[in-house]
Amino acid sequence: MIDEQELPDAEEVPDRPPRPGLRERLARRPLGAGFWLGAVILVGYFVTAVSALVVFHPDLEFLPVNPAWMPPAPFAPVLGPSSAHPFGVLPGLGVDLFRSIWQATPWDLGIVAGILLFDAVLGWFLGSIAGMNEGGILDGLISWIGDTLGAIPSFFLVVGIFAGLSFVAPTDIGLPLFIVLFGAIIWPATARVTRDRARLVARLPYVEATRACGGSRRRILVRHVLPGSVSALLAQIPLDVAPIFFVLIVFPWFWDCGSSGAKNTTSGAGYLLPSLPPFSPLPWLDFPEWGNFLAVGVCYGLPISSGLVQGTIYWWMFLFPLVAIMGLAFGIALVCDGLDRRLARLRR
Amino acid sequence: MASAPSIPDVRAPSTSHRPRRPVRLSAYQRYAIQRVLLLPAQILLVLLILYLALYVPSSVALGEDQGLLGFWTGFYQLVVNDFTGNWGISVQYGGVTIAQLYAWAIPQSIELAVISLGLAAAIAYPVSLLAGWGRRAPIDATVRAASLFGTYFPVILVGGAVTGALFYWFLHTYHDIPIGILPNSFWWLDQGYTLPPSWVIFGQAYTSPTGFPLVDGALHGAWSFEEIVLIKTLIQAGIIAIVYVSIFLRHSFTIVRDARDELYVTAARSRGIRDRTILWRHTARRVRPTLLLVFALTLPAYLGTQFVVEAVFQDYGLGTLVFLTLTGQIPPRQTLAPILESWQVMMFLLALAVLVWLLAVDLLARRLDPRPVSRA
Repeated sequence: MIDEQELPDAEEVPDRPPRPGLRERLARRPLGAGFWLGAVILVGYFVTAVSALVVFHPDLEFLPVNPAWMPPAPFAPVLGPSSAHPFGVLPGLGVDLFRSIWQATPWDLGIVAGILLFDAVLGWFLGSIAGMNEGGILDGLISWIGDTLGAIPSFFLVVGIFAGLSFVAPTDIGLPLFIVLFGAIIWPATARVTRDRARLVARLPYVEATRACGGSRRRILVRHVLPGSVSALLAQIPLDVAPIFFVLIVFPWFWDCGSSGAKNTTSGAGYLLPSLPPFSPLPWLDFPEWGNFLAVGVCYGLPISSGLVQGTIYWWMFLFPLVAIMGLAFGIALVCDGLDRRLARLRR
Repeated sequence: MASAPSIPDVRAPSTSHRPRRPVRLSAYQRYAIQRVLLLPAQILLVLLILYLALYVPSSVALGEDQGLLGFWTGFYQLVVNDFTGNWGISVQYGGVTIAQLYAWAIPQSIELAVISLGLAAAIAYPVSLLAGWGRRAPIDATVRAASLFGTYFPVILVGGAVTGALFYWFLHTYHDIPIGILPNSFWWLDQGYTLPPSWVIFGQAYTSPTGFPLVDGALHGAWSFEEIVLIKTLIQAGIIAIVYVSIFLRHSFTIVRDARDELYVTAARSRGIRDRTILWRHTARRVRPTLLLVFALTLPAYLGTQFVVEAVFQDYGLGTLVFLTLTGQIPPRQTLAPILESWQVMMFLLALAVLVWLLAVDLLARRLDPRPVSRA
C-alpha cells in the first residue's frame, strides 16, 4: 500500500517536461551557419528598404538626375567612387549610384517578394493537389497546363503577355500587373517539383491511416500534404529568382546597347542615350530599379559588351548593382537551403 | 508414272475462322502512344494562350468587337498561318520573309547548341556523379556555391568579360575579332578576297547551301574559314556550357545524392563491391534517365543562356533574332500591332521546339530506365 504522504502534490507534477532554453533548442536543431548568414543578409536588405522609404519619401519613384553627369567620357568627366559618391556615378542615367541603389531597394524587394509569393502559393497549392490526386483528372489537368505553359521560356512569355495586356490595362498599373503576371507564369516549375514530393507524402503510412480513419481530403491536404511538400518549394524558390532579374536586366541591355539595338539609341551627340524597351514594366527611365542600373552600367562600364572594340572599363558602373542583385539572391538561397536542411533533419 | 496425290500445304492460311490474337502493346508502347497523342493538345493550348494574350487585348483596345464567331475565325486563321509559314515580311530586313530569316538563323544556332551541349554533357555528367557521391562537406559546399553563382551571375557580364579578355589575342592570332560566328569583312580582305565568296550570303551573315557554317565550309574546302569558325564557336559554346552546367548541377547533384542512399548500394557495399564500381556501373545507369529529364526541365534556361550569349557576341543566330523581335526591331508588316504578330510566331516556334524535345527526352528516358516498369 502506498503511503499517501509520499506522493507529491498534484500541483508540483509538471504536465510535460520543462521547455529547453533557446540556446539548447538551437544546439539540438541547428539551422546551420548558412541560414544565419542568409537571414542577416535579408534583414540587412529589409532595414535598407525601410530606411529608403523614410528618407526618400515622397519622391521614392523618381531618381534625382543630374544632366551634367549624363554623357559618358570623353564628353564629360567620369566620376568614380569617392567620399562624395561612394559607389561612383552612372552616366547615361546621370545618377549617383549609392543613392540610386539605396532608393531602389524597396522597389526591387517588392518586385521579388511579390512574384515569389504568387509563384509559391500557386505552385505549392496546385502541385500538392496534383500530387495528392496522382493519375486523376485534376492531376492530368494541372500537369497538362503546367507542362504546356512551362514549354515557353517564362522570361519571353511574361514579356509577351505583358505587352498584350498593356493594350487594355491602365498605364499606371504596369508594375503590379507585371508582378502578378510573372508569378502566374512561373508556377509550373514549382508545381512540378511540389507534385513529386506531394505524391510521396500522400502515400506515407500516417497519411493512409488518417484516410482510413475518415479524414477528409481537405484535412489531409491542409494538415499533411501541404506541410510535407514544403521542402520541394524551398528548393525551387531560389531558382525562380534568376528569371526575374533576367527579364529586368537583359531586355533593357539589349535595347540600349546589345547587338544592333545600339543603332536605335545612338543620339546625334555621338553617344548612347538609354531608353526603355517597348512594353517595359518600368513606368519611366529614371525609375529606381537595380536591373536597369546594371543594364545601363554594363553598356557604359564594359564597352566590349556593346560591340565597341575600344573603350575603358569602368568597373563600378556594373559591380555595385551586380552585388546588390546577387546579395539578395544569395540571401534567399541560403535561407531556403537552411530551412530545407532543418526540415530534412526533422523528417529523419 | 502416276502423279502423287497433292499434299495440302499446312503453311497456307486456313479458311476456317481462327481466333484473332489480341494486339498486346508493351507498357513502353502504351506510354509512347499516350505521350505522342498529348502533343497536339499541348500545341493547341500554346496557340490559344498566345491568341488570348496577344491578339484579343489589342483588338479589344482597338474596339474590334467581332463576337464569338470572329474570335474563333481569328484563332483558326492564326493556326493556319503558323503552320503554313505565313509569318509576314520583315520591313527592316528589306522585304525578306520572316520564315526565310528563321530558316537562315536556325542552322547556325543548332550548330552552336550541338557543340555547347556536348561540352556541357562532358562536364556535367561526371561532375554530378562525383559531387553527389562524395560525402565530404567541402565538396557539398563547393558545388552548392558554384551552382548558385552560375545561376545568378548575369551571362551578359560573363560574355562581355570573356570577349574583352580574348579580344587582342584573337586579333593578333587570327586577324579577326571574336564577334559573330562567321569571319568579319577585314578577315576576308586579309585572306585576299575583295568580296567574300558567293556561298557567304546576306551581308556575310549566313552560309549556303546547308546554313551550318562548319558543314558549308567543309563542303567548299575552305579550311582556314573552318578553323576560325570552329574557334569562335568553341569560345561561345564554352561560356554557354559553363553557365548551363552550374544551373544543371543544382538539380543533378541532389538526384545522385538520393540514389547514393538506396538499398541496392548498401547491399552492393556489403558484398564487398568497390565504391567506384557501384558508382560508374550501377548508380550512373540508374540516374541517367533522371538526368535526362532534368535536362528537359531546364531546357528553357538553356535556351535563355544560349540566346543571350548569341546576342552578346552579335551572332546572326536565333538568339539575336529573338531579342530583335522582342524589342520590336523586325516588324513583319505595317499593321497596328506589328510587334505582337512577330512575337507570336517566335513564341510558337520556341514552344514547338521545347514540346517536341520534351517528348523525345521523355521517351528516351523511359527507354533507358533500368528499373522494371509496373504493368498495373
